[in-house]
Amino acid sequence: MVRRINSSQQTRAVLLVLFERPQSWRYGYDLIKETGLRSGTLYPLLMRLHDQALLDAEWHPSAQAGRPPRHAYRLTQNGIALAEEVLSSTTSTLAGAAGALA
Amino acid sequence: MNTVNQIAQAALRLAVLISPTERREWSLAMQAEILNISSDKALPFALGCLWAMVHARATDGNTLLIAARWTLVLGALAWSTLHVRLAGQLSASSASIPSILAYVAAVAIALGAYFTAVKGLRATFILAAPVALLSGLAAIGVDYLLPQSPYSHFYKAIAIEYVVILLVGMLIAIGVPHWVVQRERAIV
Repeated sequence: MVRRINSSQQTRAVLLVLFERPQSWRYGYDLIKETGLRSGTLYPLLMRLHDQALLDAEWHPSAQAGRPPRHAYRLTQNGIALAEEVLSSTTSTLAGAAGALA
Repeated sequence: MNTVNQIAQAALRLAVLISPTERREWSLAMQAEILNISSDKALPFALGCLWAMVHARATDGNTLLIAARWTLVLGALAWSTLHVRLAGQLSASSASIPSILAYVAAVAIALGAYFTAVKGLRATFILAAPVALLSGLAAIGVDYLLPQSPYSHFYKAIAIEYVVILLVGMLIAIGVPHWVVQRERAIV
């Protein structure tokens, strides 16, 4: 069962970006570019998601020779379930807003 | 490497240095990541990471426990110093017994500070609780047990002061570890 513990706008943005390709490993800088978050916001958020077992993190060898390994991230099964929940709630909120405008 | 990049690298080295043990891997991740960032974005990235690690260090459970412990130690040493000063003033006014009591209290409080520094916050509670209880009883009983003298109100005021200060110390000694444990449970 997934607890509803991450509901800030920034957390949703990160969850949804990671959920676009849930099996792919993503790097910190890629997430910064895709979410528009600053590093001082993104990394504490990633740490919290990892503490809550919603995010996997592991070191991957760098694609460029001579550079150190990079830390990569992807959602766990719990993280995917939470992202699905966030996505469906966002969709229903938007549908509700569209219905109110119609 | 230009100056801005050097500053960014230095900021990330500092971030690694100050990171709490359980966040060390994340600070190393930030340090590795900056090598993949264009130089015009490196400094904001590094400063954000440094801020994240400063925040992680400041709110780390161990840091809070250490801060609470040393606040109590320094507070007790300051209180002990005040007792020595008070004892000096009392001996100057020929109040020998209160002066001796003030010196004894100064030594006892300094010992409390020592045991808090060496043994931790639990020692504060173990040492302060009986003294607070005795002080409370003394504050209640001073009117009944001692004959009225110029010092009666003074003794009562001192006893009440002891109770209040020791309760604050015990509250910190119990409250901070309890809060840290609750917070860590809430995170996981």
